[in-house]
Amino acid sequence: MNGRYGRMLYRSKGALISAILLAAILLVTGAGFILLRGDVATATSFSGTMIPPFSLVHGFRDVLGTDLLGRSELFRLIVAARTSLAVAFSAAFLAAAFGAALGIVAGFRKGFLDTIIMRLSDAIQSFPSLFLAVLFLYIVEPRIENIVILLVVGRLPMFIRVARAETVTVVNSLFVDAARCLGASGWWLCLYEIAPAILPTMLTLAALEIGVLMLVESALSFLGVGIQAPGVSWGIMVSEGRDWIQSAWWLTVFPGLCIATVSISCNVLSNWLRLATNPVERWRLDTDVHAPDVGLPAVLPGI
Amino acid sequence: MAIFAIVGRRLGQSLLSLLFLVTAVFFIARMTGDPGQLYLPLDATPEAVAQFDKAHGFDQPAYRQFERYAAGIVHLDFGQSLRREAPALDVVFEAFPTTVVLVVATELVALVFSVVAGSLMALRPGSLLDRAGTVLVVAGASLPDFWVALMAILVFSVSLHVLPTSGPGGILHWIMPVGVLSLRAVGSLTQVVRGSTMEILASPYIEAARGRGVGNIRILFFHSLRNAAIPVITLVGIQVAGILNGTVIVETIFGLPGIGRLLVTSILGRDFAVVEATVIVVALTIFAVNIVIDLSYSAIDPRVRA
Repeated sequence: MNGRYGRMLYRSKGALISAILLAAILLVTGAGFILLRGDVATATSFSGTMIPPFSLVHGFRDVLGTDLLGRSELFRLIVAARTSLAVAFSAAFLAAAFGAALGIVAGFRKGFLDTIIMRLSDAIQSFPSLFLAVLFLYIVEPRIENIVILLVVGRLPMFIRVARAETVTVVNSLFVDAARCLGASGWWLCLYEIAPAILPTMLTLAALEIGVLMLVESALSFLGVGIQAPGVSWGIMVSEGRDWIQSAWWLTVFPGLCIATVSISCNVLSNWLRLATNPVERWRLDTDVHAPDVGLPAVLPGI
Repeated sequence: MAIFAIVGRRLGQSLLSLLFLVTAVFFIARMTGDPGQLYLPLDATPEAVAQFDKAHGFDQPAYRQFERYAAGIVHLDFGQSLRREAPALDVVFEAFPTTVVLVVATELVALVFSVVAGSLMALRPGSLLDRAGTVLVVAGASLPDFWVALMAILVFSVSLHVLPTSGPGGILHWIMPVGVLSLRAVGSLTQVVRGSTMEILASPYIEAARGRGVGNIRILFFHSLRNAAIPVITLVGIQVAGILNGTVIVETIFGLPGIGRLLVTSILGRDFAVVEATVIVVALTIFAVNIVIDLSYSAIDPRVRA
């Protein structure tokens, strides 16, 4: 990150806090990967079940409370973060890559291929994604790869649509014409002229989508058709805590807060990224002039 | 007569999507395994599966099965519900009204709230109200709805004892489900109302109205709203799918007997005929909503008719 981006991040409070929170969560998850033994999330302790949080009487392990089996809520949260973050990040990355490729092709080639790609993404988008997801996971095994594939297909239309719209505008710009006059082929134009030009938009959308994907994955886990029981994800933890909501609120509150933190941070950071990567809007983040209206964060309908 | 052309084209496109969906549901279901195993409980004997396959024609080639399936749909025959001993379609229509009430109530709450909040936010960008609205927009888009629902139960039912936790019933039973569902809809709608109102407020005819001394409230809700409404209505159409997603969660948590809960219980109970019927009824409903939305453009904005 060069100095300018650092300065712009430092100047916008919301984005800075979001970045710090996300970095902290990634750091703790990474540290847990190295430091925590494989079974800490499942290790039971019948001497200390249902311990309320925020007391260090039982040691650091139980600082966020324990569940009915005496499992440490803190350690479970850290281990569950691996699944939740891995699914959300990989699905966002894959959807961005495939969506950009399809969108560029649709916008560049136009014609029949364009129609087919856009109609298919319309079909996916017009139907409630959770209905399709539940249906799909009923037919195939709810393994983590299948869940990622499903999430990628479900979120693909958004990326295709945005990539296509950007391509259609970029394709008419002078630098593309110049490359064409120098004898560049269609492949060259797509890969070296158009793709870099739409990259910032794709990154912004991907950042937003990480949050959305986290919500979808946790909703699926919550419904019992996502990641299955011996595995842990934040969504599963909320779902398991649901039965104890009257006696042990911490079992639902903490994992839900984790999901919300990641999702909100991604939303705010995505909005910042949208301004920071846009040369026309960038001054708003880079000067001391008070800019009253930096626009609302991008919110996309549905999940 | 352009309006008929537009609606006609949309109809064709939506019909294409619908056909694609119906075919995809059929082939995904058939290609991934023995339908006998899909329909029957997990502990069914191999003989029972074979007998079931024969009785329902699943031992025939796939194209013959697709013929039967398509013919059935045309005659609105989706087969029998295995759990309920009733035609699958009846089971779906029994659950349908609950979901319709949920979706309509949610959309109404969201529309009223976002038109008022979004317009006022557009009037003074950067004000305290605008900032507070922004927080709400972000929260609506980013909070997991199932968790918000559980937190609402924790606060209003467990701690304060003011609202019932679940089940159908009087108006009190609908407050939390509709509230939770509205949260996400309100977020994106408010943002669109704000954006489109800001654009309209910058136009010359608004300036002219201001020059004549028309007040802010009158400008917002009489002069600008009608023009700001087009993108809002487009979003309402797109949102129906998103709200239906939410009903799966909300109906499950609050124990409302709607389509979303029916889908989850039929899937867990391996009642595939009902699952298929649910998917197709939902698709048809969305298809109908889209056409109504297309028609409403011309009712609101005469320029579309030209």
